[in-house]
Amino acid sequence: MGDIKSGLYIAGAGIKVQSERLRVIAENIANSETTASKPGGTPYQRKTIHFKNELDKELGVNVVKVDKIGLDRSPFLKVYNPGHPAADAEGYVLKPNVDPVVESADLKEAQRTYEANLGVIEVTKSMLNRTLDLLR
Amino acid sequence: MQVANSGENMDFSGINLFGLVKKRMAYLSERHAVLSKNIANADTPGYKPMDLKPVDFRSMVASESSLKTNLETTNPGHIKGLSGNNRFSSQKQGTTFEVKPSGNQVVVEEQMMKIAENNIDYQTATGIYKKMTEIMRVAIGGGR
Repeated sequence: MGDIKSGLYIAGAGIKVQSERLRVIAENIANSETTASKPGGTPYQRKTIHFKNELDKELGVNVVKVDKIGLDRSPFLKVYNPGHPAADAEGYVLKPNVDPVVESADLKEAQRTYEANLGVIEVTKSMLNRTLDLLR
Repeated sequence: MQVANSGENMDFSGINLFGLVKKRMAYLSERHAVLSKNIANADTPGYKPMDLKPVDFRSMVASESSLKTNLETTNPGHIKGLSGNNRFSSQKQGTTFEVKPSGNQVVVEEQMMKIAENNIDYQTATGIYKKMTEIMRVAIGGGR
């Protein structure tokens, strides 16, 4: 595998992890109001995604991969809502620990990195084309 | 791009400029791979951006055989020699503009700038190579 071509695969791996991240963020935002269905249950717990740089044995280079998708252990929000099916004896309901502001900031960052990787692929393509042009 | 050993088939690398441009292209394509790795790891915690050490022209001219040998892979199942794959030495970038709270030091704009710069250098190298082949063509009487 040539260096330029491996650039394609490296950037491709970058795009892949960022879209995985977008999926996790979408999941968090979609579930930002998901509560338990009965008292004592836990609401939706925010998911986090970790990346790592790992050797791809086929390519012989390090590419970025999803390490693990974990759970955010920060405390749940407590909201007073006695009529809710999941309300406890004092009338409080646990809400997910998803902060929409944090999620949109993460979303922007993921989008930015995604676009940067797309840019790398464009440049890689132009370099490959230049090399092929040498044959003309 | 695989760099053939000098002077195998058509002996173009006997003409020094061809050999130089070839080496320049090998350097630039390896730098491109390193820089795209930085972009791909723009959000990996603790990642420090890498770059190739700039090659100075004098040492390039002096050491015609600076390209190291690779482990031969004759079967898709073979693993590649890790150090053999890097013909130019890479280094961690010293200081960057910012460090994210996660310890990541990649500045996407800076890396994109480098990639664009690298791309232009590559275009220059291929341009020179093309011109050289045109000159050769003129010399063998095929020029128009």
